[in-house]
Amino acid sequence: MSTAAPALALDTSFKALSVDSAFSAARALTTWLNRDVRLHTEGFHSAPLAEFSELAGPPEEPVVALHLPLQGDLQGDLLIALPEQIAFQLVDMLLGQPVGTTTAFGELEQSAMQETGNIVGSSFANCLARWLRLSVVPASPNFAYDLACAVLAPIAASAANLSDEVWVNRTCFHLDGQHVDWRLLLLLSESARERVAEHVQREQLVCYDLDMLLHHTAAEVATQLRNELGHDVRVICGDFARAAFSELIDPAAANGHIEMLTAPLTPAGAGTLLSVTSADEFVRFLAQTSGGRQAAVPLMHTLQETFARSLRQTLAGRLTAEHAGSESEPDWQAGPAGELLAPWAKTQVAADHELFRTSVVFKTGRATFETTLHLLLHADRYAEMGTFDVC
Amino acid sequence: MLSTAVGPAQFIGIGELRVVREPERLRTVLGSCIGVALFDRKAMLAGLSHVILPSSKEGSGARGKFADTAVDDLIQQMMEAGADRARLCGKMVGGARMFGAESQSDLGSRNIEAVRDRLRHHRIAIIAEDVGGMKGRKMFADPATAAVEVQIIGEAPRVI
Repeated sequence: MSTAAPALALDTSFKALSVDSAFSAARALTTWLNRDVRLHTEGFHSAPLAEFSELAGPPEEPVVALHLPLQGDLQGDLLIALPEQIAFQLVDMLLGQPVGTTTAFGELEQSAMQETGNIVGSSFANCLARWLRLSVVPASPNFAYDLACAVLAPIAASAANLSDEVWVNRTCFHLDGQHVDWRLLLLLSESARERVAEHVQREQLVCYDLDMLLHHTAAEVATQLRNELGHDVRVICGDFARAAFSELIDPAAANGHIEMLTAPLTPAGAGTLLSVTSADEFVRFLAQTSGGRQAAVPLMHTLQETFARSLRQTLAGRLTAEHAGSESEPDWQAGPAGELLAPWAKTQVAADHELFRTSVVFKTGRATFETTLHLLLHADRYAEMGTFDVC
Repeated sequence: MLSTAVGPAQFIGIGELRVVREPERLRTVLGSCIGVALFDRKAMLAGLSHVILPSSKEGSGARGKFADTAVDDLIQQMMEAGADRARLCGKMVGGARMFGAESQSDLGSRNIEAVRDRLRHHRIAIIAEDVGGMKGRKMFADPATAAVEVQIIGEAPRVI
């Protein structure tokens, strides 16, 4: 199977996957180090072999490297590389001793580093496994203290034997808000890359299906809005794409006041619509269109619930009878984005849900209002949807 | 003794090869890979290849990645640059077993044997080598003297 065709889908889906994996690893590392650790991922890209020499750091500089071969359904390599001075500091932090104490890597220091690699690698790999529905098992970390280019050699050999490019995901670290030059590389074998591409293509079909549901729903909502406001309103839907739970909250807007709708679409929470709207924005939108500020919030609720109802009806035609339809009422909450979304996201990750996101834009005259819709499907129901043909 | 402070040296990345004439020099960093250097002292030429895999039969792609095709191409480029094939001699560095005994396969040893075989096939003598072990190496090659300097973390540099 060719891996060239789904390049765009790979970009979007796997950026989201990378973000979620990095977030999962960051949480584990934050607990392990008792410091604020954040990981920023660049997503997957193809690196020519010539550039590969520099992926673990300046090629002639010494680094501490932890290599975790991936086993199971998805074969590849995880490599964590740190400049030696940073690694010394990390060991001091882990062993609770003053910075500057560690100057060499004895058995204890190596063990501390390997455990760190284990924690980061396992959480990263577990997230990959959950997302891809595949077994991804990292082996125990191998330790090396050596030149940055030298530690890459065995990994390059396995990743590049069939190609002159290496498909790599690079993730960087921030510790207590400061960039630190730790690098996490994920390289997948040719066969793993093909499995990933197959998965993404299946996911793309689901997204097409969801897009059709949404466009059908948008037409109904536009009609309702026209009846309420007395003039034409265009409802423009974006395309659904897989999203990362960790990106639900925009840090810059975490304190912003939102109206959050959670509407069960199927029984037992197998599918849920989450709509996140800035109430103030909607009031402004209505003020520009009809002056009906008092009616703004109830109308917004009505619109979102119309979306939910319409999606629920359409989903009912896509899922088997036992999983279709729901009599549960939608739930509205209002408050700061961070406070509402963070606990909710945590629950959904634990409940094994997949997250898809799109935007819906309402336009009338020069006024525009945008809301974000998230559709959650339980992993099993998501797989069920993937079996439908899309014309 | 060759000093890393003397003049600039071109870096040869993974799977690359290049030929230079004095006063230019070449350098690379090796783990399980092999740095194959060929010299023609009279012509003041040096070529360096950074090989990562033993045989082109095990994979596909750029010829510089594989011991057999990389050695062939390095000889060809030396000749095109003006080297006399009869004067060519070789030195090889690298082939370590990175990440210790737990690593999956002894790729370094297979690379070493593959390069030796190919140079023997071309009847080019290996006049010095620094291979094996479990540590990475920096390698510098000087066309003026046919000297190769090897540096390992924690050890004094040596010239072969």
